[in-house]
Amino acid sequence: MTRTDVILRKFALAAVTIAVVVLLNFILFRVLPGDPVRAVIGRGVRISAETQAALRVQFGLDKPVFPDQFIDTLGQWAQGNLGVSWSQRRPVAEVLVAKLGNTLLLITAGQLLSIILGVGLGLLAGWRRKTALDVGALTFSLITWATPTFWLGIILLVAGSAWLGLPTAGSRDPGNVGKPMLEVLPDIAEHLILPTLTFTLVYLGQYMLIMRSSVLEVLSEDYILTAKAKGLTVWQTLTRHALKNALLPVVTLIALNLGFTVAGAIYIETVFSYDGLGRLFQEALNRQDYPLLQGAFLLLAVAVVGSNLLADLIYAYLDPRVKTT
Amino acid sequence: MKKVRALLQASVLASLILTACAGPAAPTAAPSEGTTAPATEPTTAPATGGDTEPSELRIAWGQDPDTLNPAYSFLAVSYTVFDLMYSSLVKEGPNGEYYGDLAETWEVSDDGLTWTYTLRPNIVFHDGTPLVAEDVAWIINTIKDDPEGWAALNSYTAGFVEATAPDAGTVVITTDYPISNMNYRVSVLYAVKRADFEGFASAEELQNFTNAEGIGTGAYKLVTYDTDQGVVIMEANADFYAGAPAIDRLIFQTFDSGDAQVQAFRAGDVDLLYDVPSTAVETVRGIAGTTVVQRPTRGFTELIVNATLPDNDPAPTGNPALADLAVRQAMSHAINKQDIVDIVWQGLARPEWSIIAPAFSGGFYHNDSITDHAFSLDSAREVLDAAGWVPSSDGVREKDGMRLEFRLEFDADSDSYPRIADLIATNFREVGMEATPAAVDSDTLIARTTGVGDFDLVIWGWGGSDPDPDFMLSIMTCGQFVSGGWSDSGYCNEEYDMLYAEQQAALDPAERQRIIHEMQALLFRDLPYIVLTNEDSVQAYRSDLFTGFPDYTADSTYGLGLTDAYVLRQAQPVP
Amino acid sequence: MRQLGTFWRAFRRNGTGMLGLFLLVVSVVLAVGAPWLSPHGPTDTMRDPVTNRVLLFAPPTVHGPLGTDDAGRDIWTLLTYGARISLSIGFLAGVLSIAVGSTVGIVAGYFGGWVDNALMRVTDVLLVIPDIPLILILIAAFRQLDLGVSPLVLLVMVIGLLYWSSTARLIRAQVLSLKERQFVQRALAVGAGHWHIINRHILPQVMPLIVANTVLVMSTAILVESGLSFLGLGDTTQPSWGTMINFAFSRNAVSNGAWWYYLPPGLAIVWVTLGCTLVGNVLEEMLNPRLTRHHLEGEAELPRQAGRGTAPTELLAALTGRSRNGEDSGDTR
Repeated sequence: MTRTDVILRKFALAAVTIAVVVLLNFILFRVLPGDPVRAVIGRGVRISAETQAALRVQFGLDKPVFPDQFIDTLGQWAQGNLGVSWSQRRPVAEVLVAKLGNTLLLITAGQLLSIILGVGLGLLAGWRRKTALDVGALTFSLITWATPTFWLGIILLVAGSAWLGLPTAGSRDPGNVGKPMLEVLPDIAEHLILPTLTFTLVYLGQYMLIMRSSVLEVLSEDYILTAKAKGLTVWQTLTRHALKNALLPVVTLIALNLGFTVAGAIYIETVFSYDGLGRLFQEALNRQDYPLLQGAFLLLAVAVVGSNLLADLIYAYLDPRVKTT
Repeated sequence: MKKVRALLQASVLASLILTACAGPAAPTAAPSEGTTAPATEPTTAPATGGDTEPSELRIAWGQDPDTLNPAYSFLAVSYTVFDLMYSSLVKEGPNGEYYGDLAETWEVSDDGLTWTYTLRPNIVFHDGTPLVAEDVAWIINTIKDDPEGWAALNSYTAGFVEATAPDAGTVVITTDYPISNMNYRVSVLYAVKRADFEGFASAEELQNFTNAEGIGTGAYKLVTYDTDQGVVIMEANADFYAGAPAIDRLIFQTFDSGDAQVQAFRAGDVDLLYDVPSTAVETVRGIAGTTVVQRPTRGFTELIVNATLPDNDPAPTGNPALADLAVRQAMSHAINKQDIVDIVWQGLARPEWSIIAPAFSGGFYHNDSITDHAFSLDSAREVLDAAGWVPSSDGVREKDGMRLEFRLEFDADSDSYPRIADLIATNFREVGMEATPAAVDSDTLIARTTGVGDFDLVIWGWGGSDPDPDFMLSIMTCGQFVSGGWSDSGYCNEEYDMLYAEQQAALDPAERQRIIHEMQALLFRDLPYIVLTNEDSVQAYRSDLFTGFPDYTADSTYGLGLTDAYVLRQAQPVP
Repeated sequence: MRQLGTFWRAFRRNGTGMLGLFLLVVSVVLAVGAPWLSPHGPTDTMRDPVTNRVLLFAPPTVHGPLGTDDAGRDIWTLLTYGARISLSIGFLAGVLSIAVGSTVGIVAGYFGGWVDNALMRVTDVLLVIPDIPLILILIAAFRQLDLGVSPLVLLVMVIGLLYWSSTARLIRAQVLSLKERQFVQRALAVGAGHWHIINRHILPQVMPLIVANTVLVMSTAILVESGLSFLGLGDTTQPSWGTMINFAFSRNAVSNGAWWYYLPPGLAIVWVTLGCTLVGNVLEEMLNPRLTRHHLEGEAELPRQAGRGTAPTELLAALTGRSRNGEDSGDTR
């Protein structure tokens, strides 16, 4: 199979996946009973039956689900219009963009930290294989793997607020809203510490493992001999070759991880009341705000599928096996 | 939409409860109806000197306003903001009475069909333009004529014929029939700036308007409404008719976990907690410099008993044994309400039996002559024995092939109802009744109860946000047991319905009180609801930094919360 | 029987395996023995013997061994009953997911051609759809359908039916290589039916792999269940560990400083997940000495694992220093 074939197939897969997501996400709620108008306007709210009916018409819910509502929705999306959120009465795209920034900040910070720490730790662990350091590092990542993200978050929340006095909720202090970005930067960073730390601990193990494997491989190959001949120390050899070898898996893992971070974001944002996409998604679900829910799910799915595609492409380009076949 | 969990149950959802509205097309009778203004106008605390740093009160609440457009706003938090930024003809005072806000005095004609409001002179909008009677008449007519666009407020104008402004200082509202709760109705018809709400091409366009720069005549003006951060910032209105309030800035910030609010309060990041979760009250009490304000709400939690008539369409699926009054009475005896108060509400509630809680108009409408069934497992057993319900081999009582086995359902989102369900099921088991708790999606629950009767027992709560008892009474009328209506028990009693209509037109408060007492007696006799508890609302503020708030311990029926416009106008920073 | 004995002797020599088994056995004992391990029922309220007041958020010093929760219930009791819920869901969802995954893997691998192609594309799609958001939507939708299905059954179904893709790939790869073996070819040549061949020749060969994988998938299932219950999608009338943490969080255990409320259920989850992971890994290693997992069927393919990142297997292999297929690097490269 040529590289072009591989790439074409990956693109096709991504397209099919998105199509499945669109369909799923549309069907699941529309064909079910229940009354979104009631859910959207909340409970305990008194609106006359006539007004409720008028809202149903406005939301397009009076039309048959298939094909009318489906075609309407698709048509809107094709024009790049995600519709208007029923509960917030604002364009869905606007709501998503507003929350996206916070989530991106959180994910990026978490990923960067876990890569740096993970790679460093892996390097050390591989270099000092079978020592207490190595076993300790491996045990640590095994335990973090077995720890539920949300629970780790709660523990860090308690510890961080009790001992370090760190903020435990939101993305910035109330008083700092509306002030210039530069001024509130330290505040934003402070609010990021605990959620980011949770993220880091959850994902660190994988990077560590890849790096460690790479180190072990380098140690077992001829590099060492060659390097010795060149007068390099073992440590120098390791940092050069092992880092290079680990590049491909680490880069692909980063892209792959973006998918898993979506789940992480939902848990972490819930624990830390961090106003990002994860929380938005849950809120839309609770209030049966279909346009918002569909928009959020679409965005998440596109991000995940896109990053998977990216991972595949990187792999296809960098992997020697693909080149030769 | 129907019900709400009572205020204490979950801080977040609690705020879903909207403060308002008349029942769907159901005009209502009002509390102390009257003709003149009870002139309990709050005195505004003197503003602090201009040279000091502006004072700022930071308020934490559990939910964002849905929008600041009163045409399409349904959350209680939004109405808190509206009451601060907008004036209306009258507003609710601390003990169920109404004070004149825009109106200096008002009176109703002898036939009860014409209301005349005389406005205060010299009221100006936040942008400096004067408010005239025509502005008020315009918005009332607009709300009345646009049921779809003004979805949130339209039902308050049910029965209105027209609002007119015979001169710049007088508003006249004519109605089709006497409306006993007129004061309450006009209290949410906000005097918005006409230019802000004119010229929308469709109802949808009007509803999508966020009104982030809304202009009103209230004590505070809206400065920032940041929907993304969930922040509302307001500043004192120097031109307010009663003088500028003493606190210069209000910042409302949303936190969606109770723990986060408490942490922020402890750290001094916020000064006032809008709604303290019951499980966190003890913690907040322990924070230095704090005053915790605990006051009874009009909300309650109840056990809904399927009282749907057998000839209902569709046919009800409830256990037919529920039709036996003895079974319902036995249930009422068997439930340990005090346990629910102590365990689920952490002591922040009281056992209650009536849907009209004592907090309505300072106890005016609660029927104190009735004593609740005492908690007694023995009494419950006796009642069942007397009615012929005999324990079978497995302990569950039986009669004529019917067994006392029930579904006991509740809203899956609630973290309190599962606790209540466990307590009730345990109590029931001891007297030979088997209740099986199950968590159900709230929308499903609405669909299965309202107009349908596909349930046995459901635990739920009403927020009781309406200061007027009319709405609460309406949920037990026959006409409300339809899809889109508010009755979930399926209770239908012609006598009750007649009394309901009578109280709506009873302009004499004493007469209305008598009717409402009688209605409560009917409900207590028939038990379509076994009311469980009446909960408290708990708020807290930094009393070392702010003063002037009312002494809630001195007046146990004080009905307004800390963030009510009337209350905030009296508050001031500690010098 | 004798084989089993031999196997056990081998397993017993494996330190990590035994540790994992210990963790699992303890939790199973907890689950099975729940009614006998505590004098209280899961919905009983604890009261002060003197004042008869309900003990809310009582610390372990006041009410042993683990204190009480926001409704005055005994946390140790809840923990033992919670083990029942969490373990059964993990077990059932794990078995379901393996059943689906194995079936898909065997059918795809054995029949090949368009069947294989179609099944694998479905698998690919499932692997990249963000799982937690999808599950949230699915469960919310099904709840609204109000089919009278218990929320726990719903959890089992959703987890079981979504987390099978990696198993399917694993089994398929194994079946592909088996198909080329002599005994299968010979059976085909003598005209044996497909069902016969799968049943007699393929299944026994992949069975050990399936067993080992079941234990591993259970750990994922338990983690996912706890997460969903934390988000309130579990059964609030049953004390699963995830539900306990959910209540602890929403009923302000943090503000009340009630660490005895939120720590134990979390530790229990870690305990069981570790147990499954350790046992599963050792089983896989022992039962399939020749097997390695290759996803690289002629095309570049990334290792993907439903759930969270790296599979515990690789971690474990690294930890125990046992090399698989002569390589220490697992399949991440």
